Amino acid sequence: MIALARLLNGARGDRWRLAAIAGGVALGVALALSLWSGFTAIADRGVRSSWIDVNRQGQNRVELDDRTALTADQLLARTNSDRFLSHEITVLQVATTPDTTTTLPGIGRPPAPGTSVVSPALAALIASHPPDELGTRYGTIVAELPDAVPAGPNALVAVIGVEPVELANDGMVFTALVGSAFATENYGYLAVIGAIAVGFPVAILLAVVTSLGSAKREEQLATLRLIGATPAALTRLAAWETAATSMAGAVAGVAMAWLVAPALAGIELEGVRFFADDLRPGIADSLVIGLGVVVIAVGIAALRARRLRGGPLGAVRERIESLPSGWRVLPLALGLIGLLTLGLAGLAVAKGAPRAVPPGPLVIGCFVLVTFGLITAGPPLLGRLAGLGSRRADGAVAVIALNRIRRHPRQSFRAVSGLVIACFVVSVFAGARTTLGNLDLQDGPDHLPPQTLIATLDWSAYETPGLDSPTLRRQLDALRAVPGVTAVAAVGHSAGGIAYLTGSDATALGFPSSEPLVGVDAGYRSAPFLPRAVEPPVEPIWVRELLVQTTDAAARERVRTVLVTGELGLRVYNTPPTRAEWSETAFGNTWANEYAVLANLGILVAAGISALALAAATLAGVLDRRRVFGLLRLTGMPPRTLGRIIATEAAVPLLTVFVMVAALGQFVAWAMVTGLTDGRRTTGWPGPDYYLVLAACLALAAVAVAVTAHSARRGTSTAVTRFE
Amino acid sequence: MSTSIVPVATEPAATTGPLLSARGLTRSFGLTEAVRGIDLDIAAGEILAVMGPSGSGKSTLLHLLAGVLTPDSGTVSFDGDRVDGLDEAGRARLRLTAFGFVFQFGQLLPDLSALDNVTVPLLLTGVHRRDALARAHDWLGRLDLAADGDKLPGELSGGQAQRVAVARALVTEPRVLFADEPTGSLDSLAAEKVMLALTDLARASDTTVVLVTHDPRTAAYADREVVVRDGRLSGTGR
Repeated sequence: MIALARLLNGARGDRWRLAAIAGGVALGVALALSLWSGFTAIADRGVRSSWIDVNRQGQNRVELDDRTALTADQLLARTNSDRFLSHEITVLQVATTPDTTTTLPGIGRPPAPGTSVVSPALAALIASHPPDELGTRYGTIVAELPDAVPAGPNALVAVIGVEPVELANDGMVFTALVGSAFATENYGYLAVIGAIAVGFPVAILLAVVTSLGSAKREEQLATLRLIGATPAALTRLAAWETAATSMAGAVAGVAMAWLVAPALAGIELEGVRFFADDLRPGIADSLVIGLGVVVIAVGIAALRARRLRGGPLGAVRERIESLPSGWRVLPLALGLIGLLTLGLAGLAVAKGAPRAVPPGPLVIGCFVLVTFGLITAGPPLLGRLAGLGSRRADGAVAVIALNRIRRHPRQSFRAVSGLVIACFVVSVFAGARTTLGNLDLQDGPDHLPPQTLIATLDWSAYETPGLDSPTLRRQLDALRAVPGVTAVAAVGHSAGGIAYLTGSDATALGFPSSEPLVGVDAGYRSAPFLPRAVEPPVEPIWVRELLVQTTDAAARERVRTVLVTGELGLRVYNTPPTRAEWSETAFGNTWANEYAVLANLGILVAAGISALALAAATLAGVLDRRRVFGLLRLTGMPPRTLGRIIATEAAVPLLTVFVMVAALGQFVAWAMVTGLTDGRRTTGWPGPDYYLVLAACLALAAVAVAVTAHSARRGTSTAVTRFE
Repeated sequence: MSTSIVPVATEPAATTGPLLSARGLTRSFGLTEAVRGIDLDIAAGEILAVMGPSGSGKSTLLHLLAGVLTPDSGTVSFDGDRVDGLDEAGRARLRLTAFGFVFQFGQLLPDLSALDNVTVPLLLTGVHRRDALARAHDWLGRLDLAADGDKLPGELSGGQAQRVAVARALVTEPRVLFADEPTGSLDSLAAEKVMLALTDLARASDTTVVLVTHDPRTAAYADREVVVRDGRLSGTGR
């Protein structure tokens, strides 16, 4: 059987066909494996590192009336974010009893008060800056975290030992800290969307490349049938051949996935790169995915051989697809109706109606249904449109191309379905992202400067309220003495939505006032900062915030260090952000921008794969009709006409669904955002990067088709055809 | 039961000089000399059969005459103009507008109906679809295929498909029809129907036919036979 397969594949064209199949399988396996490795890497690093965030800990928690009354098997912990320049540092403060038996993953015994264990990246950052700007915040660094703890090589993490009393107000008590794969369900949703966006084109690519040259192959098998081979023998032959080819491709794919892991590790998720080892496929994953692809490819090849249309007389007839049923539109329709219902329900909730069920799983379910529905609905819609078009067509190109699509709607749609899904997902993401776009930082002369530090104070530390508390004033003066500080203001709050500060503090901030007490809008972080004269409120004024302006970034970090360490007696809840940083965090722009970059990258990868699939599918379509195209060229059809036929056959399905997909994407984004936020948010027009990504998708498709058309022209030249 | 093929009248058409002429044609493929110095004149309206065993060079000769291939040496003239001097685009244009082709098999576009297949050469030359459909329908009628116009090639018998190919070759009313083993894949009854249709319609439209075949029964429909052996003309008949 192997000898027969080798004999049949000895011709140059067949060797190219097998090489193309092996190459396509290699690429598909590499992508599938990388995608799976990425998914498991996210989960693995979540398990490894998420214990540091006690706010996401759902287990092993203990409620104590007095949090400082710890036993040896308990620890008191608090997680917050520290900031340094543009970096965000995750800080876990841990308090234990001196005879503690608790341990931390990868560290062992928690650090003693005044000491810390930091990640290698943070240690390097500390070493490269003056201690009063960063290092002092972490006390004595006694060790570095091993690789088995931080999320990635550039993760900035510190575990600091503190006294229990320091966490008495806002610490949480646990018997152990453990990590989890996905910190929130959003990660699970993102994984589903990512798998669809990239996984689907990979599946299409594999399906297309394994069918390359199937018409010619069927002719060869039919010839073998003619000379006496049994259907079972042909099935075995096809299986052997595909097994050998796809096995070679799978091995190459595993090697590719292994080799590209270091490059992929450079992609940041939540600001943290991956360890290359996290992305290198394991032996079990490689075997399952590699062999899985081989088994599927062999199964398809065997099935094709069994369904061979050639009888014992050897004839092979062109298979015409039956027109896909209109019922295939049903999933799309159901998904869209579901999303519309959820969107309208969200609007109703916003107007006070009760929320019936949590919308999250339903929204994601409908999204998956719509995505699946696009695939099932594509062929019947395309077939019917092509049927209409072919009757009205004038000119050889349109007649040939539209009839091809009309007779092969599944095959035609399959060629572009990867791009369709990629464009749909990017449209949904771009639409959903617009909900954040109109909440950018407001700036101008009537706003606080963006680099003003806003420190939230632990007001319970002051025995008497008031902006003129002598203790407070003394502490503020000490803060003003930090090198580089240009202005310090204390902000107090009372009832009525007004923030109070002294006129002199307002003047120091750059908003001159001769009044003893002025008021500003309490939402001054985003609203204009316009001090006006106010009467002192009846209720006492509690000092809640400090506003600090500095000459430069280094001075800002010195202020942060002073406030975080509490060395002036001023106690802050978290490392104070600037107004700009607060805005980024509060509006979710950081999150959105990070995921936008990731999503655009993913979509471009998906579009690239899809373009390859399109090229392979187009080539397969030409190979299947190589003889007839060649003979048409022999009869005088100009080469450019062939190129135009190929381009039209690819362009019509793509453009037919492209506009529809882009519009559907916007609708789905609106429904998802409105449904998930109970109508609190809506969407707008996507930004320019969306149109750039769409243009890139189309450009990739155009390049794929152009290359294929060129290759088809060469493959159907008269010199080649006369030997067919 | 065998079916005999009865040749139609073999009266040659009136000739006023060769429509197609070859002088000293040679063509090699690597070390293989496929055509070695052939001189041949074909009159307007003549039906010429080029016979010979497999590998004798008869298909190469047809391709040289039709401008599919260019000779290594020698000349090919059509209606007094040199064909071998034209570039690829020029020869393609000539094939599209002045020549028609019928091959052994696999020449119909599988996704087009029989009617649409016949329109393709007309559409390629810029004829509007409505006119092309009318003319194609007319030609299918002449080939006794009027009822099969909507069928796809896969739904036609081998003989029907070959007659559709004949209709497609003749629909542009070419000056010369090149047929390379047009009955090679057909049973004798179907072959007879194809050859009768081809030669009748060619004579009716005064189309010159160059018919390559190794089958004497097919060659019997021609006005004249030439035999190619080892790349040379080794004899003529009739």
